[in-house]
Amino acid sequence: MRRLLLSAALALASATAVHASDDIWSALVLATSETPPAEIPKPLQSFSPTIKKVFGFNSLYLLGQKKRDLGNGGEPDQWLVPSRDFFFQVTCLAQEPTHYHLRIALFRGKELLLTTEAKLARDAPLFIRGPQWGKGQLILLLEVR
Amino acid sequence: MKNFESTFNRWLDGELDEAERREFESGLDEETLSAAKAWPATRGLLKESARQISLPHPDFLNEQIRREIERKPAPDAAWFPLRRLLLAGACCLAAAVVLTAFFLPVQNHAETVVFMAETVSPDASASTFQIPGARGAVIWMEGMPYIPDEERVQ
Repeated sequence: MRRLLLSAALALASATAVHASDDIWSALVLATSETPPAEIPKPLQSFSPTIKKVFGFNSLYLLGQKKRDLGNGGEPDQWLVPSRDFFFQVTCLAQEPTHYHLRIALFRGKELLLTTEAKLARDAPLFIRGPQWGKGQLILLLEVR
Repeated sequence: MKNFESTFNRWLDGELDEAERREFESGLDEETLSAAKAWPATRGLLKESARQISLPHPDFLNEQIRREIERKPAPDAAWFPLRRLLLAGACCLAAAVVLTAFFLPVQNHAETVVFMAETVSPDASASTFQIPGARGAVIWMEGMPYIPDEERVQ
């Protein structure tokens, strides 16, 4: 009985807490409104309802994605390059039980577009509304996994 | 001796025939004989007295006895199997409540939060908000230069 309770507690804790082996995933997405809607790529299916609700687009195209290890042996800065044109520099400022405290810089080529500081929780994505491209909207995604 | 007792009892009960009775009585001394002859009357009085004995306040005594029986728990009543099952169930429920109280808030509060977001271009701006009903957040940039369709983004 004691072992069972301990196992349940550890399972609950591990489901929510961040780990040294967590990854950060980034993606560059083109969001458009089409009739009929285009098929949602598999990596974006879980984000599709939120994007539709927040940004109002029903079709998504994955232009690029990249995943890096966050617990990278003490290396504070990482380059996340989901696409050749848009990419991130991510600095891990602190690792807390439920969050990674990150400083994020968004670049387009050599041009710095945005700097931000955020606490990213596991499986709680950060959406960045980028520039408009043609009839669509560029959206950048960051998620700790 | 045993034979005497047997005969004596039969004499007291009046079961001896005439000849046996005379023979037995001739062997008794005067005092024993008179006491023995008074025995049937004595026995009758004793039986009558026993019939008439009754406890005072019988209802009160019955009530006291009933209360005493009810006050004492039945042996092992606290450890019937059903009781044990209920106890185990209650313990599991309590453990679930404690675990939920400790761990669920951690899960609920694990949201992505943006502290600050600044654009470099003076023509652009950034605002942030939490996504309603979800754990994610949004950085909403405005005023970014439009990228024409012909320009390739990859």
